[in-house]
Amino acid sequence: MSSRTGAIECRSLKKVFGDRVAVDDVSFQVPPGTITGFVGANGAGKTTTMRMLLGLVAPSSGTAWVNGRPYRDLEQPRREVGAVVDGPGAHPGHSARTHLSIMALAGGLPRRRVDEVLDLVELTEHAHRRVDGFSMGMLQRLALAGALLGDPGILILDEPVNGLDPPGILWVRDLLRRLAEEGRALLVSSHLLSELAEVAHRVVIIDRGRLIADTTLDDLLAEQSHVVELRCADPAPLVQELRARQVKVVADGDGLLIEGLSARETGEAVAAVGAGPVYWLTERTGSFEDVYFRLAGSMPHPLSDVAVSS
Amino acid sequence: MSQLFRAELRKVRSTPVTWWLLMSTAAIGILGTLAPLIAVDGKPVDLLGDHQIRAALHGAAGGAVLVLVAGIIGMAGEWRFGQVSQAFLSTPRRWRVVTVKTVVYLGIGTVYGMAAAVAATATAWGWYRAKGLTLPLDRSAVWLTLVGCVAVAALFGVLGVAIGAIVRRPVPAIVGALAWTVLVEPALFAAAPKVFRWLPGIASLSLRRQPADHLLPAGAAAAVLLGVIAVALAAGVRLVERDDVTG
Repeated sequence: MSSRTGAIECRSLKKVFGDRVAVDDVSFQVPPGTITGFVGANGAGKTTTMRMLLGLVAPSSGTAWVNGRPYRDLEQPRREVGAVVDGPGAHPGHSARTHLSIMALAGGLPRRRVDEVLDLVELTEHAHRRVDGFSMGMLQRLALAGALLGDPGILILDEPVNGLDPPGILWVRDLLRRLAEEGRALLVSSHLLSELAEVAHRVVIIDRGRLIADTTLDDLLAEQSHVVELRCADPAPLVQELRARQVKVVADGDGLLIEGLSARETGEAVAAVGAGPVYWLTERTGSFEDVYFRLAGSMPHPLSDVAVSS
Repeated sequence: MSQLFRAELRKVRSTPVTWWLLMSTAAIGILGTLAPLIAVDGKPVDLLGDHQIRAALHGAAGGAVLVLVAGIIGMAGEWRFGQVSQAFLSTPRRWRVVTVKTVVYLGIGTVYGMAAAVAATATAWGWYRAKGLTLPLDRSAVWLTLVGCVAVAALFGVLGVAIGAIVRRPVPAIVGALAWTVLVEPALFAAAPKVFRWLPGIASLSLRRQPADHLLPAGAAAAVLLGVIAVALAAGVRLVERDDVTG
């Protein structure tokens, strides 16, 4: 595989569908040689942003550039950008080889690349099978093969590990690392931050169309905090007390998640307001998802009417 | 464009529905020829008259209907399984995709039309021979009908691409196009022939030399059909260029 490089840049990107703002003023860059995790809940605007980068969706305003130009201006797009969007995009009656051959022909790519990418994604022995008989994992591998067909310097991958089994996820992670080491720029989306935490150099987090974080993984990890899990007999006065003290608290089933207090401080607060007896009290390190939800300002679990974050 | 053209040909060749529709076209060519001949069997009809020859060979027109379906599937089908994203990732200037499909389905329409024409001619030839007659292949009633059927099939292939580009949902596009062509236009023409002979499907009857009254002259019919196809294609290209591909 050649040592290719490329870069991605969004500037003040906005997309409005009717009266719904799908993406609002999003700006970020993906430098060469890095994997950037693009994280957000379902419907947050990840796919729309990626489709704007790929020229499939027209921005309402702002710019979405690959290698310094809009995708539509690329002369040989398959050689510059590889993409996974919405699966492999194969006709179910075609074989994997036929699908990739059609892509290679349309993209002006050498036919030998079909065999090379089939080998790379370990689908050679299934090359002549019809795509409608493929498992979800095989479809994802075929989609990745299509993205790599042009040996591009930029890869834009929308949920590439979706539907993969654990060995498949490890395989994709290893592949992404190798591709980044070759100098390529990778933008990889997922709705789970933890899925990308082991490979991403940078993380861009989007929530309800707006960018809420664009940082290195190290900086993000530094923001991890401790969370106390609590179950007690009468949580309502405790929630009121914590709200008054500007402590963040959210409902978690029949218990509470409290951020910013230690277990001991939490126990003392329970005793002070008479919220006991305590059935469960434990302190844990915040997960990637806790960090994500704190940045997004939304809750990991539905809020009850008594537990409101301050 | 040549690489895109080759990719589209490969796509068409490796899609099973292309071949199923081609075989169905030949079958319709045979049945559409046999039906009018069986209907007049035993009656005092001059089988060698121009009117009867044109009626018999009208089975060749069957190609036009199914190539319309093929054209719609070829264009709108791109949206069905998500192939359209890959198509536009390879060719971001989308008008090129529609242009290449237009050329390819013009060719496919010709092939379908020829398959129907050969099937109809062979069937009529066999029927005439069984009756102790010879199908006069050198008569203009024969070859003008066959050439007209092939030309209409080719144009309907392009019309299918245009409809597919406008609607972009294969099933509603196919149902709507077939209902319009097979039911609505004939009903309107039967109700007011001098008004509705300008409809594209009815105009195609003139090109196919269908024996019917009140049809437009062939030149006017060709102009109508070409005009409708040009407008539909322009609308299709504009919509495909403009609209977002969201899934």
